[in-house]
Amino acid sequence: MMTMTTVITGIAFVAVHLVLAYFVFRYSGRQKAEHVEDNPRLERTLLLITSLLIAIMLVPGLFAYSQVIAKPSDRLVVEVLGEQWRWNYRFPGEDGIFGRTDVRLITSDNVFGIDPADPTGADDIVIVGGPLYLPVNQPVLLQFRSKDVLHNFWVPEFRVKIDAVPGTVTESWFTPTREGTYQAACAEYCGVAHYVMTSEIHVVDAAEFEQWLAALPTVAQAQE
Amino acid sequence: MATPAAAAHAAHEHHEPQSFWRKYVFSLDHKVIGIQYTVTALAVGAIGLVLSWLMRLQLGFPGAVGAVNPTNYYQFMTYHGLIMVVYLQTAILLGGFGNYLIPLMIGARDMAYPTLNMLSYWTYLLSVILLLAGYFVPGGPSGGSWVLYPPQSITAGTPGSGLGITLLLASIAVFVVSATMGGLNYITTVLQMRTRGMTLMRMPLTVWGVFISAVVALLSFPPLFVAGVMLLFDHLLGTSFFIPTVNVLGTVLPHEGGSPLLFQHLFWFFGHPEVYVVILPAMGIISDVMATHARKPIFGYKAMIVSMAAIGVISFIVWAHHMFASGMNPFFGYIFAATTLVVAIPSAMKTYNWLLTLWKGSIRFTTPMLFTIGFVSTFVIGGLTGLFLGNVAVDLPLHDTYFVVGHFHLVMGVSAILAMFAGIYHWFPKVTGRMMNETLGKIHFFVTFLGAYLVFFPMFLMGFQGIPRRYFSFDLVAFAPSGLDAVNAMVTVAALAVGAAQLVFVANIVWSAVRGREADANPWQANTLEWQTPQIRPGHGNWGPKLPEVYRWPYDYSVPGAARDFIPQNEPEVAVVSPAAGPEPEGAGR
Amino acid sequence: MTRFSQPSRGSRGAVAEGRLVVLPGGGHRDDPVARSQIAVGLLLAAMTMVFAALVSAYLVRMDLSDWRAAPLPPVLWVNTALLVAASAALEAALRPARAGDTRRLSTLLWVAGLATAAFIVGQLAAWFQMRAMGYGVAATPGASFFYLLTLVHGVHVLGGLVPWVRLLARLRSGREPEEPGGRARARDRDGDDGPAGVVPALRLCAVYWHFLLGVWIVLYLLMLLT
Repeated sequence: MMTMTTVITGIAFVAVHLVLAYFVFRYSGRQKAEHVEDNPRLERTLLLITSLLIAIMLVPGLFAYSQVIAKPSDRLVVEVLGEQWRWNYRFPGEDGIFGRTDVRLITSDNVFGIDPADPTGADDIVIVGGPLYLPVNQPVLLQFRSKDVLHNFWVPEFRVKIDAVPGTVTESWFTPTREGTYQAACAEYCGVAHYVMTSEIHVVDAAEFEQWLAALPTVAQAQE
Repeated sequence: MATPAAAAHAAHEHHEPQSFWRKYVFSLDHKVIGIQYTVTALAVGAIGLVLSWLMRLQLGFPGAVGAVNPTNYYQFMTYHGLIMVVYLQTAILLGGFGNYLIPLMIGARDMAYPTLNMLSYWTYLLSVILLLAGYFVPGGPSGGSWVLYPPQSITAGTPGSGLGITLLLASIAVFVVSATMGGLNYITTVLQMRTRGMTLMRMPLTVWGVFISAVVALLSFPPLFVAGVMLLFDHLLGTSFFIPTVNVLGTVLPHEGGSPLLFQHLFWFFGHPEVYVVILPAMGIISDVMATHARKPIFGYKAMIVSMAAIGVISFIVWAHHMFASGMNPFFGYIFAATTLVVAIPSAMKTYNWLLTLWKGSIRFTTPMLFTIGFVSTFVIGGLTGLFLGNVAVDLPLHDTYFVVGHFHLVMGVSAILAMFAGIYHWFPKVTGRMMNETLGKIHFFVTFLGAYLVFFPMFLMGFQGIPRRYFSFDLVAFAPSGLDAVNAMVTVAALAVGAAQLVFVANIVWSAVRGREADANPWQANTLEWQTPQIRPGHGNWGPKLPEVYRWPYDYSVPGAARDFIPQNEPEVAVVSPAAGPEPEGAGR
Repeated sequence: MTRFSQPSRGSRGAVAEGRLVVLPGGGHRDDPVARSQIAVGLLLAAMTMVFAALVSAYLVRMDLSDWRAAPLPPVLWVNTALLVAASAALEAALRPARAGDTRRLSTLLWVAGLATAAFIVGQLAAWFQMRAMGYGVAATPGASFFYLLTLVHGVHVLGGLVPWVRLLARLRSGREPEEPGGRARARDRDGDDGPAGVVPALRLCAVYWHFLLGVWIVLYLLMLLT
């Protein structure tokens, strides 16, 4: 998609500028102008060609978009919480269920505001500020929350982008296909330290990921 | 019929207000008001320009200017954006050019409502004062970015989230009131005050551009007003229109349940049409300047009007393409991507028509013409890069990166500013009776035009690398390529050069107004009515005892067989060879 | 390829034949009545956008989970009746204006103005009643909207009093208040003073009131039914 758009617009850019340069050079006041008012046929042709090119870019674009927003079925769910000015992550733990949260319960020890009354929250695993490890070739569904203002979790290599909006949960998903170290940066202006809101992300093989996750304390363990 | 009252009125007409204050300050004359708008807007624009230098210095040479820190960087960013889009471009293109040119171009004595017109200017000035007052209150001006997204804009993590944002929102609300008064006036004037013979389809495209733009402004600014008032409620009264339960820097705020997305919808319902409010008058100015200096009718006059109207209408149904990554219902992505790409079609038609206007023309490379040609170039690259951002799947990786910065600066920043310069160089002789200096003008053009490319083209490449915008520093961005610092330094140098070129422009204006070569009544040999006034600098009432009558459209340039290569709109009869009996058309121009 | 101006091309005139063509209805309408109608029409269009934005914000906000409406103060019924009365009085004033009955006209104008002023006072009273019921501006989203909608609407009603005052002044002095620079207006009015002369302005005034009455009914029903 990106390539096709680049090619079409690139050609259009060069073509228009060549024509512009030629006209500017060719009709540079040495001869009298001709009184030409319009040329409906030429205009119709140009209209048709333009509409066609637009359609060529738009239609595949919409198909590509339908794939972007189609949720993967076998997925690893991670919750991402944006706050001024760091990223925090949460895994649901053994039970696969995230404990209930409430913004009012957020403290420096409980950055997600997990409700202690909810038993499903005890085995959740919380990572404050990162880094986040993800298994390679495993579809990942990120659920975004924000405790304060808008943020946007942006890892250029993953090519997805969605705001973390306070008051709601937004989602995006992707499948990391190459092991390595990446970085998430904030791509929605979030106040005076917007530019420092980065977080490290490691894409590793499944075994290493499991090892990393198992070594992290659960919420219950962390409280002891 | 002549009652005493009417006679009193008639007598009154011969006693124009002559005091200095009435004539130059609280003037009701559309020309004075237009100049007031222009000068004020340029002065505020100069502030916006200096703010961009400060930001560029920080980005190009981090730390070199110790006075720039994240707090004031984001304040500069906010004020630069708002000043340039609203208080410079909107004000100068509608309030400045619209005011000065509409009555002259349609052959009217003044605007339909002169008092309202004056009020519109003074209200605008009040909004500017409220805006700048932000710098003189505790906590400083708002650093909420020009889009002012809540909760960020009114919470503690953002500079100026106290009195600063209050003043900013008040300023915006006042500006909307001013723009509404102006818009009412422009539209009514165009519909009602045209002189005899000036049909709608004989109006110069500048008037068409301002007219359509005023309609768009009139209908799109109210949602901004509403968004601003609601945000003020949230900010000052603790309501929860836009703010859900949040914990900002350790404090739970009293709000609950509001929707940040609601603000974004209201804002962009204004914000996108606003782009066209700025660019439509620019398109009109470009068309008229181009036809005059290429000695040729604008190609496809009707198509130009239809495409401007189409752009105006479509502008109301594309707003959510600014929100593809906002977390709104993803289904909207399909709709708004489609409508957005459709708007490219009328825009492309206009570009073709400008190119075809140059075709077989006789181009005079005057300064206004150079700016016009430059406009076509920057408008094309700005428009083409819009095809990336409008297509939702392509947009997502580019959203909020430097690609966006490059795109909107070229398409509505640089392009509209180039059109503004084209207009100023073109109509300066009308306003002052003197020509602007051509050499200085050409220096101004080439540095500005080439500099703009050097500043903004690299931003597309940065965008492809994913470099996010609104960053005070890239030190912590691991994915920034190694050459980024060098590129940023180059961009900064180019930006400073462009800035310096604007000093040349200011010097040119001041020098030419006092010492410039005296202008003829019609130095560009143009057809439009404003050049046919009885005095070179039209006096109060514009036309002397009798209004001009219009007999033709404004683009009778190089009519075969005519004695001169232009026929003013108010010229009734010209001896021309009829096409049937005339020389072979193809040979006529050679 | 090359085309010339043809006489048949309507507005572009008959250049090729050197003939003078001024199309009928081309420009120069400059009719102060039509001008005011256009201006008021545009104003109402802009105001429609204001209230459309408010209503859509209301509907969007209403759908969110924490929505709680607020009870409406009963005085709103009285206020609605007052606004209806003001609107009706302006409409009724058109007849004596046409008939030249200055006394009846000015009575009805005063009725409209006083009813409008009473409406504003009533809306203020409604705010106090709301507060007394324990619904401050930030109490519930519904209450916030109540204050917001009544404020924006009330400001527009107050704005309507400006042309109302001008009408009264014009009726009193027998002519339109002088507008410096408005030469065309003075010229075109042709001494049509007195009650009949105010009919166009009175009609626009009435239209403005009807519009705001309509908006108020929409807003009131919106708040009442949700």
